[in-house]
Amino acid sequence: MKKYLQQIWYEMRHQPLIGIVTLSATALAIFLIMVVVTIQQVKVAPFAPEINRDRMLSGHGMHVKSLSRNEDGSAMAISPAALHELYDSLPGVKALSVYVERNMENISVTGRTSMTAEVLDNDEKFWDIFSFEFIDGKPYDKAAVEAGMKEAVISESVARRMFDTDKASGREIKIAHIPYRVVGVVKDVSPLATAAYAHVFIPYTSQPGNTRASEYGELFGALEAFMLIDEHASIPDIKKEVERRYSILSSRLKKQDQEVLYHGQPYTQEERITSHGSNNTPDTETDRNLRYAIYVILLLIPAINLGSITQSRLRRRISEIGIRRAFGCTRRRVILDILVENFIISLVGGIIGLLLAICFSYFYTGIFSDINPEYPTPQIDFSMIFHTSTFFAALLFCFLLNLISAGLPAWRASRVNPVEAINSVHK
Amino acid sequence: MKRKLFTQLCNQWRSNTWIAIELLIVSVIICYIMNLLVGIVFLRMENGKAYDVTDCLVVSYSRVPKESPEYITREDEKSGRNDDLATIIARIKDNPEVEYVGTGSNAIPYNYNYYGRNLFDADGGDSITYNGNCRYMSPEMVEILKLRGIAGETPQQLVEILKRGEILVSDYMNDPDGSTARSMIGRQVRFDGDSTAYRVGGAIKAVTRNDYEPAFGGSIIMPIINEEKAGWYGNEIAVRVKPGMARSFKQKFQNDMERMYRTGNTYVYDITLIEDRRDMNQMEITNMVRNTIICIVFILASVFLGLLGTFWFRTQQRVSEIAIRKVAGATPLDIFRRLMSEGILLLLLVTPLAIVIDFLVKYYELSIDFVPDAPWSIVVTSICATFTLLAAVILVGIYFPASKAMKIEPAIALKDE
Amino acid sequence: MPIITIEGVSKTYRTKEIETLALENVNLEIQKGEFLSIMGPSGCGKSTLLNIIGLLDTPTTGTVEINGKMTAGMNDSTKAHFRNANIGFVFQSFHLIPSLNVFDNVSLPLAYRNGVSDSERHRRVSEVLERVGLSHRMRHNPGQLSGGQCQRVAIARAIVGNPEIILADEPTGNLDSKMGAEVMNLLHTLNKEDGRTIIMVTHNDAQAAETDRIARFFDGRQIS
Repeated sequence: MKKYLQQIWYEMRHQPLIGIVTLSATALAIFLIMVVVTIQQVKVAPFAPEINRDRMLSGHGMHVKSLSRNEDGSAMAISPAALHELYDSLPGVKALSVYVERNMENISVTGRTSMTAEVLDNDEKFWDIFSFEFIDGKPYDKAAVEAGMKEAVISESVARRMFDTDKASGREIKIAHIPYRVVGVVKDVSPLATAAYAHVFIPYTSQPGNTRASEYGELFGALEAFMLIDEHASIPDIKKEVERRYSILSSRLKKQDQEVLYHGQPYTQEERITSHGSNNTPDTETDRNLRYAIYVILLLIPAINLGSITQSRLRRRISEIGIRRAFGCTRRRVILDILVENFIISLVGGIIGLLLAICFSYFYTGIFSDINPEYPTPQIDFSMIFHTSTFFAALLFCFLLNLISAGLPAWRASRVNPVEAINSVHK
Repeated sequence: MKRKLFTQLCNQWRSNTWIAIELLIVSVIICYIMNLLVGIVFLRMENGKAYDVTDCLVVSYSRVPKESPEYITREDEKSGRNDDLATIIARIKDNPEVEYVGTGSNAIPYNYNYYGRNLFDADGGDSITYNGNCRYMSPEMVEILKLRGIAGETPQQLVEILKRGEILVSDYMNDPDGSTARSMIGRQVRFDGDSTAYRVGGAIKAVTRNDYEPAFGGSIIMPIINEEKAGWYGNEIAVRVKPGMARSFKQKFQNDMERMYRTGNTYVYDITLIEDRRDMNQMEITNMVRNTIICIVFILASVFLGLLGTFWFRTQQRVSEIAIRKVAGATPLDIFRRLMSEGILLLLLVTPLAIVIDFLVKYYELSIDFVPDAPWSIVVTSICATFTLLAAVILVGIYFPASKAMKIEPAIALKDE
Repeated sequence: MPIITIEGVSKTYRTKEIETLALENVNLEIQKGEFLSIMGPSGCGKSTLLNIIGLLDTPTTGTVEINGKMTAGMNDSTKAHFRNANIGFVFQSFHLIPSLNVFDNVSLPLAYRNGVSDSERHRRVSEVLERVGLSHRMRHNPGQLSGGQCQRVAIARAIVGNPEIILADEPTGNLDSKMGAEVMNLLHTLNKEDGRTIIMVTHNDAQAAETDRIARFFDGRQIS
């Protein structure tokens, strides 16, 4: 190990520019790759309150289409009846939480300037699937949801704005001018938690509109669902069961000249974030391939550069390689030594790149697109952007970068004729 | 001279191969991304935008639900609501900053609603003559959005058309010279399942959903006139204020919101600049544009570093050659030029191959095109832009090593050998 | 008993345009403990012969047997290990590795040998540096040494692995006469005291005369 470091240090001292170029090219490559990795991680990796992202499924709108007419059909969230028919007691599903897409509502308290906030209508199971930190009070319970009680859980910032304290339990708050009783106060949630984010949470049953079927058909309504599945539950099995229920629904709709299109619901987190509306099947594959293509491009271009530089560097050291060969160094050892030496450099560059990527994502949240600019700047938690897997991903990318950039020059250096190598003079 | 340069290039083929491969890959990738950017610029230039939203705001209102203790029970809730709206609109108008207040439905741009309706010729016939996104606007709304006619009609002229109860249709962007919209002018039309005949009084420029896309189909502008009598205002209120006052007006409005703009069972709960709403709706595209630019910058930075490193070594390896050239009478500038030309020559050698690949990508429709039936001029522009960028980076990347080579002292260099 | 037996060795270099005959039917036996000088004008093939003996190059025809082992057909890693165990090289231009200090340069052959502990390595390197009189320069870099010192380091490197054969390609070619004499003394000591076989390419008649035997080459052929 020491000899590699010695060699690197020697080159750094004698060729500082090349050292800087090599390090910055590596750092730049790893930086960009890790930013892409981080963006994806924030979307799919679990962090509080969405700690169960990898065990969570979600059921969204339904796509109904006429059988005889050539039309796109309509897609919309579903009615309580449809929700229960599709998602009730699925095998392997531990908890089912019903919710209504969050919307902006007027929030007021007597004697205060009102505000507009994101309100999420849900049920008591929501608090089991997501892990919220309660500062005060507790969530509404099953009984409250069944009775459609006007109880609300509010975020810390709403509590402070409306009551000047986060101990707001028992106080009255008006949501769209309907009075609710605050039962709990939770810590603010980052808007990056796209499923759990809201400022105010109320039982969906407290808004009469939520429990009615829509005027566009008995299947349509306002509801969607989150599901928490068992540790060992098979997602394909659950989907198969839902697909079966879809087909039952379809055969019943035949009489009305209609069918429901199954778009692979319920969705995993990765599918949920790639889905565009309820009338499309999410295409995670294309998304993934695009990401892989980006990785390849981001690796390949710096690799070629570094390859060119490594090639030149080795040319300068060719006589040294010849000497080493004369004293019993095997070809394989030549390759190995060069790769290890380069890997150390890649690693240093990679660590710089990784640190830059973490700082960048921490301070520049604009990279996490699709966040409403009117929301407060998302609070980025270190735990959201750095996982153990992040480190290993960076390590892997460094290794690949090294292999592509130093592999060929090292192989070539090992094939060189030692006699010629020794006698070649490269200043 | 050129021939010698070429020979030298061949002699250095190993490190040149790396650079050449890199330039090829990079050229193709940048051109691919550039195609997207050029397409977007092309569209923004082509989009003769039908509207102008600077200094415009949108006011959101809602109604107190029956369940609320604040709900006022009225004899005729429906007309009560219209009275509420009329009051609110009048109060907004009272602000000295306000130029126009208008109402509409699906009128405010930068939304992705598509209320698609078909138009038929009024005097019989089942063939669709026009399909478009139906937008309802009060005459003031036309003034607020500063709608522009296809032949340069002013908002005032368009307002006159709507006031006569006539409708407007919009140009399709991908319809050269706007013939579809133009051919509609003066025709009597009716909607699907409705026998009422309307006259198409004029045509406006293409209405797009955002500033990057081509028009997603046409638009049909339906007038909302005599709201008080008709009893329908639509569900949107928009405001145009005096130039530059939008932000301050928003602030003032928010402060007065509860006190001034709540009446009966209707209350205003939000006011937003349409520009902000636009930014929000376009965010995905803005981000994509930003990301592609970052990508190009990164790739160019990589190329820069690679060239810098490789040519740095090259000048070191060729110290004696450069020294001998100097002894033979080459000026420092000759040496400088020579190294520069090496880089550019490499690019020139690679470019034809890159162009072939670029065209193949385009031919097999592998490119991402924002513009429907994108003209070849976009590809050509992309190729030129790519070449220029790469040439610039090559010159910058080789500049440092080359200027170092210029300073080589022949005596010292040859003695070192 | 000969330690090196060369039989019918020829070497032809082919490039696109020309074919060069570097060695033509060379037959040579070198005894264990012998100090052999190879002489001849530039391009006569003496360095090629040295490289073939050193397993750095392969003959076009003919066989080389070293220490009872045929060198033909050895693969790269066998050759490398064989070189490491049996042969030490000394070059005209020293060829010390500039990035390594004296100690690390000398210990290079041990780095390619399995099972040499750190303490063992340290002991052996100190020992050989002591012999060449450079123990006090252990932590210096090659750049800080004079030419004679460099060559002594190179000799230390050649013997640290305790090889039976030392191949020296004009070891004094880059040195002034005083330093050259020092290096020659060192080589003679290694030959006499340790009984190492030394094959040296040289242009210097006086130095050659002091060795056991002289093989003269001209145009690829051994002439005496």
